Amino acid sequence: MKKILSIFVAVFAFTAILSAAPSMNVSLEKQCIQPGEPLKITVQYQLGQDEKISCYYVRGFAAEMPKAAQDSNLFNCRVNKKDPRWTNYDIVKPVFFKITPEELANGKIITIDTAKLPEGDYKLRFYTSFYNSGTKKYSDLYRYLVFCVAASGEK
Amino acid sequence: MKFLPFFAAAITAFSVTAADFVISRTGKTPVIDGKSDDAVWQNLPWQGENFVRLGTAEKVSVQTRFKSCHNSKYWFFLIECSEPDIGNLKLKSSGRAYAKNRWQDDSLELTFSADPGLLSLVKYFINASGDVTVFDLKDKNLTAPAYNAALTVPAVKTASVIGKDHWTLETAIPFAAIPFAGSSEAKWRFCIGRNRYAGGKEELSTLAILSRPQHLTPHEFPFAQLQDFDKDKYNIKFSAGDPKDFSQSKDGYSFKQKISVVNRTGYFALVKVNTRLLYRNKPAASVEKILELPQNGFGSAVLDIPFAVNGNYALEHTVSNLAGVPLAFARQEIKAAYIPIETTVIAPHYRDCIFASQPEKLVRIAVKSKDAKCENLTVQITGEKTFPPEKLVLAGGQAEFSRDFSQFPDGSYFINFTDQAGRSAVVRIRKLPYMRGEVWIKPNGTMMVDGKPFIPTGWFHITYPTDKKYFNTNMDYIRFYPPEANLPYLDRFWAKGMKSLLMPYSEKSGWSLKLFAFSERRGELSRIQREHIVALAKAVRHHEGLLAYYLADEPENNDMNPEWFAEVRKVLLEYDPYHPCVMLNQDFNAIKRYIDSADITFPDCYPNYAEDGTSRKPIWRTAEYVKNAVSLRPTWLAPQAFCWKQPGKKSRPPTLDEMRNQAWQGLINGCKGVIFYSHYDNSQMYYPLIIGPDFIAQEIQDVANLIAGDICNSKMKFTVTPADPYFQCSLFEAGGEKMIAAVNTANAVRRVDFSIPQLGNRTLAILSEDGVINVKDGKFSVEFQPLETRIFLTAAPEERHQTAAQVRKNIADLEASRIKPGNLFALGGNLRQDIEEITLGKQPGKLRFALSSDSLINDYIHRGVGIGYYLFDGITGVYASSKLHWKPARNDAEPAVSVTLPQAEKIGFIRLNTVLTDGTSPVKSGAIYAEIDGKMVKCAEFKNESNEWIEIKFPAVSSSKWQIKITGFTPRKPLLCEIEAYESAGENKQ
Repeated sequence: MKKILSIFVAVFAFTAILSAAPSMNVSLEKQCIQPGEPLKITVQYQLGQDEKISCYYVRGFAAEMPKAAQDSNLFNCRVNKKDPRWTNYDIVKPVFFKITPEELANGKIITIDTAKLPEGDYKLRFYTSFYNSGTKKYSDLYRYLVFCVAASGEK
Repeated sequence: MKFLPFFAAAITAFSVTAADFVISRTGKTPVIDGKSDDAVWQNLPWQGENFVRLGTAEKVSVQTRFKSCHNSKYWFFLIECSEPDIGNLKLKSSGRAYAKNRWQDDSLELTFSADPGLLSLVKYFINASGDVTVFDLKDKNLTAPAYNAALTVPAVKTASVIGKDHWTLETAIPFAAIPFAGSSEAKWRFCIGRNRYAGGKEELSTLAILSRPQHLTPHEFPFAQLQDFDKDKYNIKFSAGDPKDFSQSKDGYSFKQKISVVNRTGYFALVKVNTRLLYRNKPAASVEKILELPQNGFGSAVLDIPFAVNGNYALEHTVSNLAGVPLAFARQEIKAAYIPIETTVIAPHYRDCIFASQPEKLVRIAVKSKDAKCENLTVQITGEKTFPPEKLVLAGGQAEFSRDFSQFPDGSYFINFTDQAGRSAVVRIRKLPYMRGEVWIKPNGTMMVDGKPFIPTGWFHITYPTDKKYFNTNMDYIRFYPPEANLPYLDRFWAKGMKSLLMPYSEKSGWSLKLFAFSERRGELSRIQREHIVALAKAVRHHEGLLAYYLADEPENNDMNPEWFAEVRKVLLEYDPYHPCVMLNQDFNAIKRYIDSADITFPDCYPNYAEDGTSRKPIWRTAEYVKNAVSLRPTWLAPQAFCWKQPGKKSRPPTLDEMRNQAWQGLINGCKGVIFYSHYDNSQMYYPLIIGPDFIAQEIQDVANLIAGDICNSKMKFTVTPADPYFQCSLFEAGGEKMIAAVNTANAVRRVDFSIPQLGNRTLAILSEDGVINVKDGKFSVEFQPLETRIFLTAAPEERHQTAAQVRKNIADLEASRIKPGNLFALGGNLRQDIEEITLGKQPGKLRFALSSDSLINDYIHRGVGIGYYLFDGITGVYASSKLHWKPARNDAEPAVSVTLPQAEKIGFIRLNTVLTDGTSPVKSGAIYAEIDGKMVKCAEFKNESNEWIEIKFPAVSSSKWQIKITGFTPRKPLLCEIEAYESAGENKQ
């Protein structure tokens, strides 16, 4: 009986730890946008106790962006000399924000400016930084934003 | 056979100095309505107007003219056909989709090609009412230009207007339809042909003067220059497999369709694949899938496609970007039929083939009807010989059909199982004529060669044949072209009794693959790839030295398409059923993903040992790999027999016991072959790796008959103390004898109590050990030292070899002997990272060296470091790999080795170990220099040398800087293997 109880306690504790970790889901309003059209996304956050959202930011790797976006000097980048495919671009610099209870319940709508994004296909990483006031540690999560910026005149 | 079109194309290419038509890029897209009022058209001139009678240079009286532009997505045409007899236009095919006789209407034929070899074309037939039929044309491989035509996706926008004295066609041809796949060599050609019947008689005319009265001489078509054409996005390739897994649901039927899209655009791409199922040319179902295509990778998906009735269908695939721009089209004619009869071939169990050396000739097929009402089936065997139909009664919807094929003539047979509704399931069985060296595989995974068990043992990359009989198998990446050039390679190994595995990718470009480049293994197997594989199989399949085809080494690491390899296997199976296909993978998932291409799966599992006693993988992981693999296919194992350099840790080579442990873990879990990786890769610089595999291979061959036997673990119980789930043990039986093989994978002692009642009271011999084990009432207990492997036998092998203990001692002695007493140039054995540091002078207190040149400085193994260290490592003679010998660069006229000692040493005797070439030393003459008072002074000379060891005695000189210059030598040959230096000749104690 003791054994069963200890297993139960362990499972409960593990579940509690899991639920304490922040999580997020991202959905795109449209997967194909016109040049310059903002990319609207809805982010569903789940925060554990003592968890707060610090900021979001968007990064892209050369291997997951069109050539025109790589050639441009539009974004800050960290060059990977060993493997240029993994040169990392700051598409959106950190945007600090506070989430309202309604946004936490219904999803936070974030609009990403794409004015600088040349036409082509993208697989960007949408990051959110979380701060845990209990452990006093930051943690980051990311989800992919997979979309296309249509060439002018394409639907 | 393709010579003529190529030749013709070449002549034309030389004769045309500029494009015949320049097609400008338009910013505005014309509205496809058949009218010429778009601003785009207003600004472009009419072209053509000199149409000639087909196959002649004679201008026709009723003319045709056109305008053209493009927007990188579509090629737009406005074509105006004068027609004095407009009331009599022939338009019989109007309203009929896919009409193959469209050309018999008053119509236009637009033919395009961008393929420099003109092997593929696309042809649009569009009649005066705007109805379209599209054909893909593929070269027939004949001397004269000739093409096979197949209907394809009619993805084109057209509209026509019939006026008073002319009719006008406006059309937008998607570039995706024109076969060019983004090739930078694309040469755009097109031709407009007109089929006129309105005048009461057939009048066929063309834009270009063609030498024959047909529209299929593309080498005579005009060239077009497409201005500002953005071709990159079309550099994708779509492929689709055959429909599979037909099933029934309450809503009808469905099947699975695998699709793949290969991305060669050079950047990440998103594509949408729309697949339409057409029944009698009408849409029956449509499925859409978005695929992410990694840069230079591929995306694939399995579509679930519903259908209502059994019958012939077409699948039309349109690949477009997410903005809707079409990128590729494909059409497949398929038969969709749900057959409620399931068949499983029980025997023959391997490849559905009966081999002449296979004793069992009984064919057994389990049959199951999914139709509850079905009580019996009609069975008929056709093929090489046709037999009368017979009745197979089902019990509970199931039955087993069996037939003895021993008296059947060799050939292909089709066993048809037909139900009362006329639905048939067909099984093909091949009864193969005998071929010397034929290979088949027993249900337990043992390879049989000419009907006898064959347990492959060998080295990967051994590069040269060996006399060691326990190494019976050779495998490498080597490929030769033309295919027949592989025969001498097979001969070379077979002369020593070694069987070889060949990669089936023989192509002209040699080592740097083009046709079979990794990037070309991501789509479907192309026709030309198939032809090359068939040519190779035909060239080598009769060679007795061929054991199997080696399909790939870890294809998962280069994102190669499993379907591509499955196709390769299918082709080889058809043309050479006598040799299995071997697939090597490095992880569980990959083994599973690539399993359809494997008759034998071949996991490599490398623990990668470090000096600190850790390893990247626990050694018992080998057993897990093999268990997974064996559950899917017959399995071989590639144990680690090299010292791999891993970052952050000092790597060390595996010990004899670790290699033996790995090999036997594999065998215990059902693997039936052991090929060590790798003779070439970092293995010949350590004695455990030089000697260990020999010993392990020999003991495997000593008990090969038992390994080939069956594993009967239900007859054995064993208890490990302390409990250890990773302890590996199996009971093998063959020919009335038994073998208990057991491996302790722990780094601690384990006591094991065995219980095998059938053993009764007796003694057991121990493989590679002295002494015996006493068994009482079927029970015995054994203590296993850390990582120890022990094999107990009811009968000792006939021949006795060295024991494991003797081999361990031998290895230890040899390792110790690497530093000879008195040798002032000795560095001895060192770990990989230490070798690099010593070479780069980063280890103070060790001798330093420099070579005048090193042809292996950029070699895969020695990159950036070179082989200098190995001149002082204390390993010489037959074991050393050619990769560890010093071969100066070709332009090095006076090769020299410079040595700097930590302090001045008195030296009066130098020995050079040369690499014999044709039995004689390639080093003929040279001199020894020492630095004295800041100058290099000659201490001794040697000349006319021919022996393996060159010994140079001279009055002893004290110096810290020495140089050996070679002035006479055989060029382009490895020269030296080792250099030793002593104070005097008497110091040399070998």
